[in-house]
Amino acid sequence: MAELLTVENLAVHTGPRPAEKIVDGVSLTMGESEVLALVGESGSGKSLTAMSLVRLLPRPLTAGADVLTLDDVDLLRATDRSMDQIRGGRIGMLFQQPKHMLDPTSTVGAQVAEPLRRFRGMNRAAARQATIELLRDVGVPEPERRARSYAHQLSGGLAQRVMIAAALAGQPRLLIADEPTTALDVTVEAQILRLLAAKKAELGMSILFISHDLGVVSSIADRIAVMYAGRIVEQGPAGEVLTAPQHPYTRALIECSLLRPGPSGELCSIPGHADSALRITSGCRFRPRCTATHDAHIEHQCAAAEPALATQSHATRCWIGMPTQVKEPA
Amino acid sequence: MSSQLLVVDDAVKHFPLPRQGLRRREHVHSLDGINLRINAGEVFGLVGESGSGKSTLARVILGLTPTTSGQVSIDGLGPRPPRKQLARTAQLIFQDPHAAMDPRMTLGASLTAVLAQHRIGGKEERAQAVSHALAEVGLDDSYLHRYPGECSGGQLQRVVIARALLLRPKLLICDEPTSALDASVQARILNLLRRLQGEHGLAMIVISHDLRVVRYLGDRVAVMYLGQIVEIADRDEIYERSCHPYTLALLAAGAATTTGKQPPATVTGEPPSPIHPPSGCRFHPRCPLATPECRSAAPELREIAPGHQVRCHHWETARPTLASEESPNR
Repeated sequence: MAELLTVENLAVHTGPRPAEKIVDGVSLTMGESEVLALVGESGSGKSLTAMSLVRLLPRPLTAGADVLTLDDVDLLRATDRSMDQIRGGRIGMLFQQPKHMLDPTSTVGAQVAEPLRRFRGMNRAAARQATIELLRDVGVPEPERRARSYAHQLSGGLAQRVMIAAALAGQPRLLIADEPTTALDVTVEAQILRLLAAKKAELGMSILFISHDLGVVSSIADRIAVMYAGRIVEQGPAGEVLTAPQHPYTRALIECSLLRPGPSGELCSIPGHADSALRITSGCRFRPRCTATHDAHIEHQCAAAEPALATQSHATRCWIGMPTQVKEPA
Repeated sequence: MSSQLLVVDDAVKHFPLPRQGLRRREHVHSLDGINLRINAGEVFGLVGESGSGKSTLARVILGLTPTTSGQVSIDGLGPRPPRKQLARTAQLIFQDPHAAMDPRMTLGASLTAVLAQHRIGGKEERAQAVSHALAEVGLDDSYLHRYPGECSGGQLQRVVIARALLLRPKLLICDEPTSALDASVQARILNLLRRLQGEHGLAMIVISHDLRVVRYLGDRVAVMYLGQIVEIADRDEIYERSCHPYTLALLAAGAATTTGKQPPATVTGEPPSPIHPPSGCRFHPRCPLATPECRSAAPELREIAPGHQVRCHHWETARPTLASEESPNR
């Protein structure tokens, strides 16, 4: 299968070097018509990873990578002018707060029409017609009337449908969806997830789906990459990662997100805090919070060095090769 | 028969909207005819989508928003109790702990201020009470001198809980207590709330859009839709024998995202505007079972089993028709 997106050894620095790396050693590949979910808690670096692909990191953050290509385009060497063509064109984007992302001063129809005129060279009349088709296509009721609405007149779910229409207007090869359903109600969330899955199948685009919610991810992802403290700690096919997680952090995260009481009647949780992980300079970054059973030999390895992420289809950054039981939290 | 701590009788809250020209003034129908009885020490879950009136109900109970009509009585205090007396009886925990604390006061000062307001104890006793309250939520005295900006969301939510419990209230209202927190932290806050509830014999109202949160904490659950309670029952009854199409849709959406299946298409569209609630049954425009009767006649809440009330004309057929594709709750 041809690779659509290849990322090798991506890092995000907090400023001019030498600076702290808040994303480090991230390597990803995505095939065509594939949904890769980046999962992690807040501060794990999942959004920064996505934003560095489209060169939208806020100052003073800087990104660097060994390889960063989309199709045949080298995103590392692309000029700012050609990045303008790529954002909204080959790479579409969706965000958590659709109403904040839409321009409040122009109609939503104009915002869907813009990429049509810009990337597909349509004239005004053709773009207007295509806009209404696109809005109808993503399930906006009464598209002719809705095209003349402003962002504040739409509900959250409708605004996200409009954002999807605007993203699809550029005929993207890759859609970056950063927590696209987090601000929506559950019944609407289900509708938006169904819509994204249908569009993926219909148009053959790939989706980089960023979420903190494993439940949401499980219903849409083909593959999952779990991030912790700026690293990918586990990566593999969605079914395998969810049912046979190998990294203790992934296991704990899954157990937590089920919100299912354990034998003691308490919910499972991960002891300690993630905010200290960036200060760990040697060994595994999850070590202070890890509850997996270690023998002395492995314990020594955990402190000495950070395990590398193998290249096989389901890989994990953990010295414990075999899946083990998570201990009950104290 | 345990004593009734909270009695809400036919509470109605309509917010007036600005007049548009010469047209009649319109109202947002936030609450329409809410009846509630909550016993001392009981945990009551309140579920619904945004705009269903959950938070307005909390504010009405706490006297923060006056009702348009209807009665609220907490602990026999009568209709309009003095604010300080009410504060000693019922307290509120908000969703965003960073917004709930004064950013320019140390946590110690914030907590001591509560006791000073109510003229409880001398300087020494207050200091003791504050550090005892912090210890109860698992924080040590080093937090006394910290500012809210120096704490993580989970730590700060513990402080908010400690502050709410300083006055030894009988009723604690938690409005989306963990929605702003990461999965691993969420579980710990829920465990803490449950432990404190048991230790203090607190009555709690837990407001959430997440059915799993309510399932873990609640004894009894009410589902709200557009300002009305559409179903109310004991926890297990709601989760296993729910009879309202809307409750079934919420459960199906929740179940799908934890099992990794595509959520079933039981409900279409989005909640309509609470300015012009639909005629008849308020759920009929989105309901898969709607008949002409639903459009014209508003169903009443009726008791279908002891303690189980449903507001639906077709409750007898709802479960057999809609629950078939629902995955078993495991």
